[in-house]
Amino acid sequence: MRTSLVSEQDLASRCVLKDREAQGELYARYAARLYAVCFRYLGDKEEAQDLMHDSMIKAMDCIGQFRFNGEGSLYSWLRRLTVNVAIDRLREMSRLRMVPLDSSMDSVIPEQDDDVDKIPASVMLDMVASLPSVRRTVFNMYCIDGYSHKEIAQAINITEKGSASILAKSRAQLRNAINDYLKRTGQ
Amino acid sequence: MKQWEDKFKERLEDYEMKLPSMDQQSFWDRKAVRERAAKRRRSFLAVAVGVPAAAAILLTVIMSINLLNTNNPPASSQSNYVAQTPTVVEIESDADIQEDILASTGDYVGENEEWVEIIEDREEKGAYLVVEEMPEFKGGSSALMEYLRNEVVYPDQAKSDSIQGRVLVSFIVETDGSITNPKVVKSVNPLLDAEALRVVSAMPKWNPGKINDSVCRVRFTIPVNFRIK
Repeated sequence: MRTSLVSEQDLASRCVLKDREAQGELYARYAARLYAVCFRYLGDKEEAQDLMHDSMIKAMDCIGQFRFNGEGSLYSWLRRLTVNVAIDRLREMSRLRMVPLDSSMDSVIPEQDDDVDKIPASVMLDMVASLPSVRRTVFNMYCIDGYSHKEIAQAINITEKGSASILAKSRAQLRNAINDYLKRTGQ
Repeated sequence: MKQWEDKFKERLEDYEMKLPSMDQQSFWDRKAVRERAAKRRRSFLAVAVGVPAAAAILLTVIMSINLLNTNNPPASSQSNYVAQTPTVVEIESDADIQEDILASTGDYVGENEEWVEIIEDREEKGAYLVVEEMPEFKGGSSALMEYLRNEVVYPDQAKSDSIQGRVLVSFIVETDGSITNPKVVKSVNPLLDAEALRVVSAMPKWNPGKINDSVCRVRFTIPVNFRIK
């Protein structure tokens, strides 16, 4: 089997049958991206690698539940699964305790539209990783993975308003990190 | 969503798509370990259901062996550990611990999320994080190192399972210097955590922190490093 040419549907169905080669191909294609997702959520490289492995194993067990509906749907399915595993892990590690509301971040922080273009992507990932976990989780879920405040509130057991305010603080913190970086690198 | 956030998202996703493949071996190893553990659990269940009497006998034998072991007087088992085994509780050098102590009380936001959460908790309850005159172990950080070196006992089970790592323990230095509310902020393993917690709780009084020359409560965090040589 020329594994790299296999379609998403074929790959998935072979994984359902526990075909070792297909499982290997699944890993080869998606592990790195899922690792990046895990790192975004957990903020620690070793934990992210562990989590990625766990979610891969889970994916291989649950692949029977995947329904193909267009190119890229396999990755979307894997990603959703991984995000859920990440949130469960964060909850398990009790890292999602409610952060008390504070209004100190209400001041306007200067920003320019093309600031983000000047920052290497790996640095951006590090910035997200270095947010405190509640803020990091909300930012990831809302801004990157497209969950609504309602879904976030349900997933991590906070109120919708809480989610919105935490998002505001996470944005402010990232903006500050971006500005600091640009200042430090003389831009 | 604001424009810079859209760009953020785009750049991150683009980056994710282009990451190179990861090495598979560690994944397959992990999967194999999981499968063996699951198999063992299943076969253990089968056996246990079938031979309750044998299990009871085995248990009694194990328990009596344990009793024999714990009958060793603590002093000699301690000296056994120091003199004969190659494992050692290694405390970092002066420089390391100094840096760690400074780092753990400063604005080290994001280094460790549990720690940040606890800090935000504590702020509400009236213990400062940074004050003009920070609290200090009597004799300074080298004395603290010495204390840890002498007081920490590497848990046997952790030693034989090769469990090592750095446990961060946070506590409050009260206005009279006594140590209260010790908490594990970064955990490694329950055995190591418990020992780190015990040692911190047993610390003698510190010199309390001060603001404008009046004593105050300060929350402080120190690392307890367990390393097997």
